[in-house]
Amino acid sequence: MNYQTVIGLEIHAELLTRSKVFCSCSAEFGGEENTRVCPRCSGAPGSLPLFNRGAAELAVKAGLALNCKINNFSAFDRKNYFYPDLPKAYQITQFFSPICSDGYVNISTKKIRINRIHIEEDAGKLIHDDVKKISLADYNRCGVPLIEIVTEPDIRSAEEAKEFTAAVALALKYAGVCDARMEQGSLRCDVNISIMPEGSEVFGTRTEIKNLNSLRSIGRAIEYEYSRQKALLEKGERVIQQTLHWDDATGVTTALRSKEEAHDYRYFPEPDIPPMFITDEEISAIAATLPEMPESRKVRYSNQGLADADATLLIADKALADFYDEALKGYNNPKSVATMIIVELLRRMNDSGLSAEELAVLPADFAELCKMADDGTVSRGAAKDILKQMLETLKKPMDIAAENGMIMSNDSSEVETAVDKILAANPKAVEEFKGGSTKVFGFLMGQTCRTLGKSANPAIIKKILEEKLMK
Amino acid sequence: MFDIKLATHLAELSKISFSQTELQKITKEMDEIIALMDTVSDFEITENSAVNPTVNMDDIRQDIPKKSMPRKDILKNAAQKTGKAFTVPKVV
Amino acid sequence: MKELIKKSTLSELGMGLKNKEFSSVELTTAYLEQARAMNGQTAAFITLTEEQALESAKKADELIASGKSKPLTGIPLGIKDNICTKGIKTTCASKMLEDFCPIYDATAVARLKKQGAVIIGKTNMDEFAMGSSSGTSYFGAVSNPYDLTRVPGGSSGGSAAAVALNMCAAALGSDTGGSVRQPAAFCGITGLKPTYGAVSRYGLIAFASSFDQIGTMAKTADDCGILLGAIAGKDEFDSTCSALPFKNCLSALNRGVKKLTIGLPKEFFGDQIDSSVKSAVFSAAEVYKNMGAEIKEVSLPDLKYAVAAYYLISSAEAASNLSRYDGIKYGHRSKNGKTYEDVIKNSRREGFGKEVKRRIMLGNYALSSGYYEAYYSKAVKIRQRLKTELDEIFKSCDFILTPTAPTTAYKKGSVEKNPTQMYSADICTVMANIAGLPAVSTTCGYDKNGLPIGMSLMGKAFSEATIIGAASAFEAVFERREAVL
Repeated sequence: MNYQTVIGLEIHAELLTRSKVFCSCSAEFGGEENTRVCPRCSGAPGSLPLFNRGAAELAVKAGLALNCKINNFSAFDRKNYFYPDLPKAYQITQFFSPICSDGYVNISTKKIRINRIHIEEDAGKLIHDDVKKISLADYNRCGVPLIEIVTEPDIRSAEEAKEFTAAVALALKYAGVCDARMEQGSLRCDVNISIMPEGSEVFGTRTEIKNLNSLRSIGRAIEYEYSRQKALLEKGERVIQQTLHWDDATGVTTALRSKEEAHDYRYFPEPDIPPMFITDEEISAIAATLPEMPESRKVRYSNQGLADADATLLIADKALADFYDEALKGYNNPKSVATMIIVELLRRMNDSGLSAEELAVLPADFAELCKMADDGTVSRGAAKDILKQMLETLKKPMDIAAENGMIMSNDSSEVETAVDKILAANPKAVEEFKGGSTKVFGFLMGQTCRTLGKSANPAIIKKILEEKLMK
Repeated sequence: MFDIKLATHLAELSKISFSQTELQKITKEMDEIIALMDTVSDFEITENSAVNPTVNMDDIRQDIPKKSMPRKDILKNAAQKTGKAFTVPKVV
Repeated sequence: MKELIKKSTLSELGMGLKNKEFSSVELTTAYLEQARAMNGQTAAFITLTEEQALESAKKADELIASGKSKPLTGIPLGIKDNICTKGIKTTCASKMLEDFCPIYDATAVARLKKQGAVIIGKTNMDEFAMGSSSGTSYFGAVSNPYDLTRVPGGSSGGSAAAVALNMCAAALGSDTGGSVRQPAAFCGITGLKPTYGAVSRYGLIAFASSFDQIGTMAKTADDCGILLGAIAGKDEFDSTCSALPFKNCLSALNRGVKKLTIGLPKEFFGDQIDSSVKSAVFSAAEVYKNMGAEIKEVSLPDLKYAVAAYYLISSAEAASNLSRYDGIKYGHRSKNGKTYEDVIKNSRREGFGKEVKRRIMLGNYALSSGYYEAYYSKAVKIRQRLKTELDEIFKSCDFILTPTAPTTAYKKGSVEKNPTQMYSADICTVMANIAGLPAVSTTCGYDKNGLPIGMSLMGKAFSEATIIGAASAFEAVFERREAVL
């Protein structure tokens, strides 16, 4: 029998606030153990949480970026469970009244619905010492703000799950909500997965795979879990509802705990934080700060005439897409600018390990360079050299061209003299050409160029050479 | 009926260990307490959901980081610690 | 000095200090002497901070000398031991926090220190403020100043006994379901539970966060008001603390009850209330009537649900609030057990007393899957209804007058043995916490054993000035008897 996979995702994204969500400690990644801690985030008796408005604003941004309804009223609740990385023994989250609901993301095949986005706090870190049989608790990460994005069970394959996660990550990066560095854990994903016979509408028993931190492991874990569940059903056994851990090294899932011993989280409204009211005006003000999102940006690029692959490549990096947009302001030739970015600039950046954010070359200068190459001020070959020097020295393209004698001469008399000399020196080649061999044209072209040096304009040389040979 | 099975379950949720005798005793006490709590059962709900007082965004703390507490203060009251972290027994 | 501390109000002490009739060091020494003398019999204090107290007294005297003194400068106060004091043990009267030393001051404490007040010690209480007898303290039961064989009430029994016996000039308590007012009644002093949000809870070790409020305890309502004025007001450290300009409201203290309407809710005068208590409160109503107030019978039909609703919600919050005591970060850590699971279960077993365990169990019962709707959720709806019924009453009344407790102080070890009987006795006080309203208890009579009887005035939110003024007017005509040991 063939089975259909049914997948729902819970994506945790760390918000790019400066301070933690319920205290003023720094939310920055890293730091020596327990140096970014205060009575509030370490759960000292008598301490109280103080919500961070920045976290609300970023959560609203995330909601807008993911087409959600922003709820004017939202409130916090306590999720109670004991674990040594959770000093208060409850996590403050939004269970009953999340800040955003009912959103969606379009992927290539369909629309994936988002049930809700809520704000919550991250837990600390335990460093295990297996020899001494102890763990060390570091609370630096306690209280770092997270949003949890919960989808409807609309995803049907590993590919869709990966595409959706990548789209969410990109949208959050665009919105400035999260840096979405999966390898650092600033974006991580829980996968809820079940299978059902193809054609069935009744979902099977689901399992939950926790804390996947790369697109690749999301894909692999789903594929593995599909096969595991399928094998169980084919043997006539049933799938047990349980929480699983994915081991990237061995490529298998293992059970963390089964439903029987599942936690009873005893959610109830957090009495220490009054519910929050966001006005429509405040939501609009936040919306106004959002940049153009990748989806609409891609449509715009396609309308500019860019190939689909090129448009996709540009929007994949917001800083690069911004660079492109800025460059167009200086030279409105989308195809030319896009090609120069994708073929030349990206290659150089890759070689030197430079990210688009770190790019110091001004878009206006880059535009100028594209224009110079297009209008024949410099040759295409020279343009590549100029770009290299621009990246190294940040000089203006025109200055580099001038200093290196790269500006092509448009003085045809000089070219004519040179061509005459070359033709006179190579009578044999001229003979061959006239006899029908076009190959020698390239040789003559090359000879002329070499005589004239970098400033020679190949187009003019070609034209004059042709004229003289045709005579 | 509040029985020993329920008491055992709640003790687990509460993360408190009880001896068998203590558990029997608290089961009996809890049974009486729950009987008092059961007075709520004949209350008829007519209210809609609560109208909670809310705070406006303007009244919520701005996102400005401040200095954390010295680590020695944070660790001061811990019974077992290293110079840098709390010592936790093995989590099973 | 001995006579002075027996008779003086806070403002009189303040004047004496300001006029240099005596110094804060002298005053503090006198109170400390009295506290040391009385503490053996009463166990009112868990910790006496003699050295620090004398040091602050010296600083206070300097402040007074420089002419920069404030109302509480140099005045020795007691602080309930669930309010964090930086560097001074704050135990919540629990083995769990026997050695706990806060790394910060509660906002209320910081504000008192800023005024130059002198903290002479931390007062005894029911463990984690759960109780109304001050008999569940890990450090021993507190005794009633009028009869050592009786309870002082609770949970702020240590603060109440200390004030009654002049071991401090006034004290802070905390009130979650009556914990300031009931011991004030049992010990014959005045206790004020402010409006929820009037005083910052930052540094008050949480019992039930949506009910907890720091309160003030003193010999007179005016003194309670002065102390409140020093600690109340917006605090950026507590988002449930109100932004209302509170000090102004207190400075406009409206003494007397002329033209005020006082409601007597009939449900507060039922069979469970001792007749001596009822008649004392009725006589007080008569007194008010003679002062020009209008007395009106009102009704709170759903009061019968109040105790259960209070216990369900407060225990639910307590179960969550007390989950942080796992022996890892602070507090008692059991030597039994190798795994996290075992160590935490044993630490909590050894660190918490019986009543605390019962409340945690009850709270988790009310919140757990399968019971949530029938208990926690229902209780929240009852809370809403009761608020609505009170709002209705306050449309036609300025405040309501009720007994503070169904009885006077009972014998140690009697009622406490029976949890449900203890809980039911909170009927008179829990409403103020359920609705977050201010209430003040003051003495309105004595029973045949000479034990004080308390009455409570509960007003609209932030109407402290009105109820303090009314209580003060009654105190002016009432002959209060000092406790003598």
